[in-house]
Amino acid sequence: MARAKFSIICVLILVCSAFVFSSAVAARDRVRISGLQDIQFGSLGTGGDALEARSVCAFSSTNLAGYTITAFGSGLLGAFEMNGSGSTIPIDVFWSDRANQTSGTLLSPNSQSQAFYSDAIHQRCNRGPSSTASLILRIRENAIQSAPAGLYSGTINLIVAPL
Amino acid sequence: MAHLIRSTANALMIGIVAAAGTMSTQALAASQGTPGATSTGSVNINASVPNRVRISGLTDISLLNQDPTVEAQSAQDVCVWSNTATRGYSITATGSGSGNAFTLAGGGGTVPYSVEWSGSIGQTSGTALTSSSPETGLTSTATQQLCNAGPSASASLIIKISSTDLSTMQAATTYTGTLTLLVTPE
Repeated sequence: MARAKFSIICVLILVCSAFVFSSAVAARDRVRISGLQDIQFGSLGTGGDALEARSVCAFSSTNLAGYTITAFGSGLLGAFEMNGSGSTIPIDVFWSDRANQTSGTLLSPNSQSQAFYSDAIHQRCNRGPSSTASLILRIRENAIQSAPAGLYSGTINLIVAPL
Repeated sequence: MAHLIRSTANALMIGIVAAAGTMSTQALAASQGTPGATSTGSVNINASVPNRVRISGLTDISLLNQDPTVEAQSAQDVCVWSNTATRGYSITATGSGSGNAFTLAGGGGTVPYSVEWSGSIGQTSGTALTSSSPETGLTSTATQQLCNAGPSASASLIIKISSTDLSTMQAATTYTGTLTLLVTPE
């Protein structure tokens, strides 16, 4: 009887320890990206590169609020490109860990970025800064000029990981 | 008289106008990340490229010291580029004469000329164009707007003044005019 009680206590201790440990890890590593908006370039002109930038909320609960971005597009092998009219238009994707930016660090498809840091104090930036980073997309003028007429669409996926 | 007519100088200048259309865009929905050890979001992107055309590689034409017994002719290769799926285009030519006529003016008079267009290069004859009337169903082989890669040109512009009309021109007189070419995507 005493042996059975001892076993139950041991199991409970192990379970509780695991729970506490996993909770601590989860709390430490929590990140979140939000505030994303679709980007419509509209009708692409020929007067230079086309640029669109959006401020987003990137939250990280690590000590330094650090994070990395891994992005991939809807093109072949995750390429950043839009498809349409039997052709593709390549897109340059940049990230800045400051809001309201029109330039940043060039991202490569499927590659983890350099370290970024967030000012967010709330997961969805409901308090504190309303956004903490910028997603910037650029279409080169020569890509616009060589693209056949038509509608183009694509997707950029962003994976935030704690750092 | 023939000698005097041969010394007549004619100059023909060419202007360019290109037309393009517009297209609409489409809205989708971004996905937001959830909190966790990693967080993934996505952004949909869309854009449209309107129909576009471009004409380039045009050079002014000078028909100097023409023998009035022989038809005067000038042919040049030009670049017409179209980004439509078929690379199609139409061309509308207008002259600077009365009612957009293909005429050169000088010495108080005018002399008509004819305009021909070919959808291939190196041609000395083509389809006769009528002023202000589009010639449709043309297709370009150009892969770059200015033909600086791929084919170096994609069409031929041919200007002619008949022997009969040359004979009506005053000697030692300059006749000038402007030919405007409007390219429209198809």
